[in-house]
Amino acid sequence: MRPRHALPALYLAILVGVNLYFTHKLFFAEYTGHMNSLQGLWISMARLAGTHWFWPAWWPYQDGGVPFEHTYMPLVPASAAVLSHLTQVSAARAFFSVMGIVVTLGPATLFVLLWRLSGRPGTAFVASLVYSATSPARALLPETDLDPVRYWSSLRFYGAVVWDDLPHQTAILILPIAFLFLWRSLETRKPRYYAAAVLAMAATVLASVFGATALALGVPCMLAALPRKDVRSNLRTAAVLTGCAYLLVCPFLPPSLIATIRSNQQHSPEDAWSGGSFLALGIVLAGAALLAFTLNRANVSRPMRFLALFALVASSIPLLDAYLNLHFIPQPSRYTAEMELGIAMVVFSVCTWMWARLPRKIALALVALFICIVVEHIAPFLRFTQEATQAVDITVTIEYRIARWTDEHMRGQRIMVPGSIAQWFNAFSSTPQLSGASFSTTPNWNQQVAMTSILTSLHPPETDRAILWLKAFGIQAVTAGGRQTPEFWKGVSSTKFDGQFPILWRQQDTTIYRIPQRSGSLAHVIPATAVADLERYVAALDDPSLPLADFRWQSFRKARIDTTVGDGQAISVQTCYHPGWHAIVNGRSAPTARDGLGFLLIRPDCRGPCHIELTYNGGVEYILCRILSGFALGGQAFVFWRLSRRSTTNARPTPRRQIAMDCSTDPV
Amino acid sequence: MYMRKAVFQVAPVAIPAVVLLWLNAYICRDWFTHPTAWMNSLHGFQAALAKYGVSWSPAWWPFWDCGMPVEFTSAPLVPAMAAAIASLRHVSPLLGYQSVSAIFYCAAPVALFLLAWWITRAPGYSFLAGLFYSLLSPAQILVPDGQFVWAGLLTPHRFKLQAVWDETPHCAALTFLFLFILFLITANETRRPAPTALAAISLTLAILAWPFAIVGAVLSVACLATVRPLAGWRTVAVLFAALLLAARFLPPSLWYAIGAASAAHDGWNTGVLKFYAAIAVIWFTMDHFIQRAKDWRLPWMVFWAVAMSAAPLVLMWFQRQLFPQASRFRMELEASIALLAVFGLRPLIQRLPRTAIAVLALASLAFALHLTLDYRRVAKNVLYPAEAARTLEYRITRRVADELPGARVMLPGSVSHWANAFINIPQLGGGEGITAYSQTLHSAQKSVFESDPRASTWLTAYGVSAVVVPARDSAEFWKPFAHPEQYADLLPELWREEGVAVYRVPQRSGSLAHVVPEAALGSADRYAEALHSAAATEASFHWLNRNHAVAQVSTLPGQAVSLQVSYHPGWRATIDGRTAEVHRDSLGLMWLRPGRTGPISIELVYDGGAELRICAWVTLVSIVAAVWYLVRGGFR
Repeated sequence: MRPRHALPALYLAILVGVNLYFTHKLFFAEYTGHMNSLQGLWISMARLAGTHWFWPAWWPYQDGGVPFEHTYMPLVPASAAVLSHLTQVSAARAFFSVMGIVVTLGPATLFVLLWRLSGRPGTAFVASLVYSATSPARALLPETDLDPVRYWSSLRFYGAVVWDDLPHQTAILILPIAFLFLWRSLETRKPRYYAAAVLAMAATVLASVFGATALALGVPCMLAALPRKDVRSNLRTAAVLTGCAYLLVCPFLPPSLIATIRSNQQHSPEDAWSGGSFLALGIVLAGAALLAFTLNRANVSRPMRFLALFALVASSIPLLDAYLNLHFIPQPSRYTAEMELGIAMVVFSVCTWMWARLPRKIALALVALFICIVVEHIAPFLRFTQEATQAVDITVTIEYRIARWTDEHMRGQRIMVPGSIAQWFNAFSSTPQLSGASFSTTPNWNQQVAMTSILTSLHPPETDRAILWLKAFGIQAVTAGGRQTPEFWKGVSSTKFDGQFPILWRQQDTTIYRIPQRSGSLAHVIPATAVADLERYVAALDDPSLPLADFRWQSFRKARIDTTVGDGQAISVQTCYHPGWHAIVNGRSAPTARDGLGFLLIRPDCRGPCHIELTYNGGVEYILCRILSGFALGGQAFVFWRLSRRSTTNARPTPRRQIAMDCSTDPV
Repeated sequence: MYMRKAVFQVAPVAIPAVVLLWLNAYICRDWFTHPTAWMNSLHGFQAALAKYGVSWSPAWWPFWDCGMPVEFTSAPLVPAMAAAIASLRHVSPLLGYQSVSAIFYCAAPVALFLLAWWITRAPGYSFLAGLFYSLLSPAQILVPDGQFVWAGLLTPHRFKLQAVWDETPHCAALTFLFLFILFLITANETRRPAPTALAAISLTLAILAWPFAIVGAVLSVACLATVRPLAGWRTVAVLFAALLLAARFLPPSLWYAIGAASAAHDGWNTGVLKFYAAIAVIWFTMDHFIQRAKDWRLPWMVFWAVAMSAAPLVLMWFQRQLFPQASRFRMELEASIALLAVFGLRPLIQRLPRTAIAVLALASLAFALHLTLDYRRVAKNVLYPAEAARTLEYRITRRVADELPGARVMLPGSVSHWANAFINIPQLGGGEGITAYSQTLHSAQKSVFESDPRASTWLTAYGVSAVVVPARDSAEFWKPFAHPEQYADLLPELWREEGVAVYRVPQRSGSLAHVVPEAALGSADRYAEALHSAAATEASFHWLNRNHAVAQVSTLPGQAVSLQVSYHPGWRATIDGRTAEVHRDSLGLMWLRPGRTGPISIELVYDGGAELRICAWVTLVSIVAAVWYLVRGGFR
C-alpha cells in the first residue's frame, strides 16, 4: 500500500467496522421477521429462479404468471442466489447476508467517491460517518411534523433492513462508484475508467430502476460541473458510456418493461405526470441553474460543484413532493435515499470548507460538539440496529404457516393471499399466487384491479365482483384477513365469503376459503366472443357445455394443453399475455393474442381434439436484448483493450494533484 | 475648593445611586413595616433559622431531617442578617427576614450601577442599566415562567421572586457578585492588595448568601479572562480565598452534599455535553470576531450575557441542566442583559443629535416613572399585611405540637417550611433540598410522598410518630402526597381538619433511642421489624440542649443502641463515662455498641467534629490575612 493511502485505508476500515457492527447480526440471521417488507419477493426469486437469470423464462409464481424480467431488477436476488449456491446456505440467509453487505458498504463507497474527488480523506470520513448513522431526510421531511430529533436515526438502514429499499440502497451503494468512474472518464479519457464506469453504471441499474433515475439526475449535474468548453465532448462521451451500460442491462430492463413501468405509474395520481410536473421540473432546473451560477461565481472547485448540484437535485424531488405536492418523476418520496446521499455530500463540502477556514479553536470545539452528539445518540441507534437485525422464529408467523399449509394441501394450484402473506408466500412455498410482486412492473394491470377488488370487497355487490375476479384468474383458494389478523397490512373482514365458499382453514381472524371451480386447469375452452368482458368470461368458464382443457407446465418455458375445440371457440390461458408465447396446435403454428382481461388467447385452427404445445422464448425483443448485451460486453472489452493500448499517448495529461484538487476553490 | 471638586466628582455617581436606591425602596417599602404570609415560599424556613441566629461555635439542628449540623440547613448570611435586624429593631424574625429582602432588592441595582460605572466611567448609561435592571424583566421574554407574552418584559419579576418566592439569598449573592466583579477588575488593573481583598470578601459574602454564586463568579471570571488579560494567580487566589473565608460555614462536606443533592434532583446526563461543546463553539466564534474590538468592556458584556443566559435558556428550550439550579440563573441573566442592552445601544445613541438624546433620556425617565408607580401598585397588592398565625399551616402545626408534644412528625410542603417559624417541632423533613444532609432520608421521604408500599417502614425506621397528609382540595400549597387517600387504609387516623388528615404511625416507643439486634441495622425492613418486636427493651432519650442529649437503656448480648438522630462525625458519645464509638447505620442514623449488658447511661455531645474545627481555624486565619491584606493595601 502506498503510504499516502494508509490513512484513507484506516478511515475506510473504521467505516466498514462501524457499519459492520450495525449489521453483523444480519450475517447470521435466517429471518429478521420484518413481514411488512418485500423481502419475501427477493428471497423467493433467489430460491425459485434457475435458468431465469440467463435466458427468458416464465415466472408462474406471482401476479398470475409474468415474464421473469417483470418481477424485479435482478442484482439483489441474483446475488443472494449466487451466495446461497456458493456457501450452501438457504436463500433467505444468503439474502440477509447480501443485505448486510449492502448496508455495511454504503458509506464506504461514498467515502471513496468523496476522498478520490477531493483528496481529503478526513472530511470524507466525517461525512460518511454522519451518513452511516443519521437521517437528514427524516428530519427535513414531515412524517407527522418537522422534527430534528428524527435526524438521529438512519433511514438508509431502516429502509433497507425493515422495509423494501434494499435494491434501491444497493443502487445507492454503487452509485458513488459509478459517479467516480464517470468523472474520471470525462476528466482523463482513460479506457480503464470507461470500462469501470460502464460496469458500475450497469450494476447500479441492475440493482434497481431507481439507480437509473439517480444516474439520470447525476450525469447532467456532472456535465454542468465540468468546464463549459468541454461540454460537447463530455456529453458525447457520457452518452456513449451510458448507452453501453444500458446495452449491458437491457435484458433485464428492455424497452417494453420501461414502457410498462411508465404506464403503470400513470394509474396512480401521486405518480402520474401532470401539469404540475412541468412546474416541478422548472423549479428544479431553475434552482440548479442558480446554484451552478453561484458556485461558478464563487470559483468553487468542480468536484464540489458536482456534489452540490447533485445534492440540490436529489433533495428537491422528495422535498417538492412533501411540501408542494409536486413531482416530475414517479414515486418521488422514494428519492429520500438519493437525498441523504446528496446531503452527505453537502456535509462533506461544508466540513471541508470549515476545516480549511475556521480558526483551530472553533474547529476543535465543533469536533467536540460532533463527538458529544454522537455519544449521546449512538446508544439508542445501536439498540435500534440490534433489534432490527435480530433473528426471529419465522415458523410462528401467519405468513409462514399459511404458506406451508397451502404447500401441503393445494400444491400447484393458484391461490390468492393478501398483503404481507403474499409478499412472503413464495419465500416458503412453491404454490403460484395471484399477487406478490411489485405493482410497478406487472404486465397485466387487470391483475392489480382484481387483487384490489378481492382485498377491499366487504359487502355483496363488491364481493360478487371479487368472486368474478377470483374465478376469472383461476384461483382455487382465497385468504381473507380481518382487522385482528396478524398479517401486517390487515384486511377488511375474515368472514366476508362465509356462506359463499367452504372454509378450509381459520385462525387468528384469517380464513382460507376454497373457490369451487369447474376445472383446476389454467386453460379453458371458451366461445371466441367471451373474451371481452369479465362476466361473459366467467360465465363461459362455468358453462358445463364447454369442453374442459388439461393444462400442464413442462418447464418454465413450456406447457401443454390437451382439449377438444369446436367452431367459434378459442382457448384462454389464465396467465398474462406476452409476445414471447408461441403456440403450436397439432403441429402447426397458431396465433396468440391478448384477450380483454390481459390473458393469453390461442385461436387454434382445429376442430375436435387439439394438442397445443405452448413455448415461451421471451419474444424478439428479449432475445435481441440478450444478443445486444452479449455483443456490447464483448465489444466493449475489445474497444477498451484497443483504446488501452493507445491511451498512453491520447489520454489527457492530468496530473494527480489536479485530480485531488482543492475542495473549495478552483485552482484554475 | 477641594470640597467642591470632591462634590463634583462624587455627585455623578452618588445621585444616580441614590435615585436607584430610592426608586426600589419606594416599590418595596412595605417589606420593612408589616409581615406578609406567602405560605408557598421559604420565608418561614428562613425565619425559623433567624430565630436561632448564627453562632460561631458548631451547633446541631435537631428540628429537620432527623437532625443535622446547622451548616447544612441553609447558607448563613441571610438568616444571620435577619436575626441581627430582628434583634436590633425588636421585630419578629420574619420581619427581620423581610427587611433583608428589601435591603438586597434595593442594593442589587445600585451594585450593578456601580459595576457599570466603574468599568465604563459613564454614569448616565450606567444609571440606565441600573434602571433597566430595576424595572424590566428580559428573562420573561427569553425564559418565561408561563406562556410567552411580550408584556412579560414589563412585570416586576425580580420583586415577585423575592416577595412571593424564595430568592432573597440569591439576590443577596448577586449583589455581592457585582461587587466581586468590580473589585476583581480593579485588582487586575491596579494590582493593589485592597481591591484583591475586597474581591475575595465580596465573593465570600456572595457564597455565604447562596453557595451557587460560585458558579456565577467562575463564569464571570471566564468572561473577563476571554476579553482581557487577567493576572491568573491573583484571580485564582481570590476564588480560593473566598472558599477559605467561608469554610467555617461552607465546609467541604457541605459542598459535597450540595453536589450529591444536585445530582439527585437536577438530573445531569451526558446529553449536556453537547451543549457545553455548542457553547464552546459560540464562545470561540465570538472570541474570534471580538478580538478585533479595541475596547474590552462591550465584548465582556456580550460574553457575560451569553454565560449567564446559557444555562436557563438551555434548560428552558432543551430541558438540560448545564449546572445545578440552572433555572435560577435568570436573575443573573437579567442583570447581564440590562448591561448589554444599554451599553450595546450606546454607540448608536451617541451618534444621535444631542436633542434626540435628551428626548430619549426624558422619554426613558418618564417611562421608568410610570413603571415605578405601576410596580408600587403591584407591590402593595403583594405585600399586604397578613398574619401567618391565621393560616392553615399555623393551625396544623399548633395542634400537632399540642397533641404530640416533642414527637417527631412528618409535615407536608408549606406546613413543613413554616412549622419551625411558629414552634420548635422536630420533623422528618423540613430541610432544603439543595443542601440535603442525607440523600437516604430524602429518598425515604420521596417514597412516603409517593405512597410507596414501604412508606410505613420508612416512617417507623425514622422514628416518626405522626404523618400529616393534605388532601388534594386542602389549602396546603404544595400537596406533595401523590395518593393522599391511600393513607386512610395504611395508618390509623388521629384527626382531620380543613382537608388535612393526621395519621398516627404505630411505634412501640416515642423515644429516639432503641435497643435492637446489631444485625437489624443493615436494612430498613429489619430495623423497623426490630423496633416493633416485643423483645425490644425500653430506652429513654432526652435533649438537654441542641448539642447535648442523654439516653438510658438496658441491653442484652448482641444488641446495639440505635439513635434515630442523623449520624455526624461531630457527635461524641460516652457510655457510663467511657468513650464509645459512634457508628452510622444504613439509614444514615447513629448507633452505638454498648460493650456490656444491663442498664447503661449514654451521653451524647455534639462538637462539630474535626472538619468543622479545622474549617473554623481556616476561616479565622483567612479573615486575619484578608484584613491584613486589605489594611496593608489601604495604607500603601
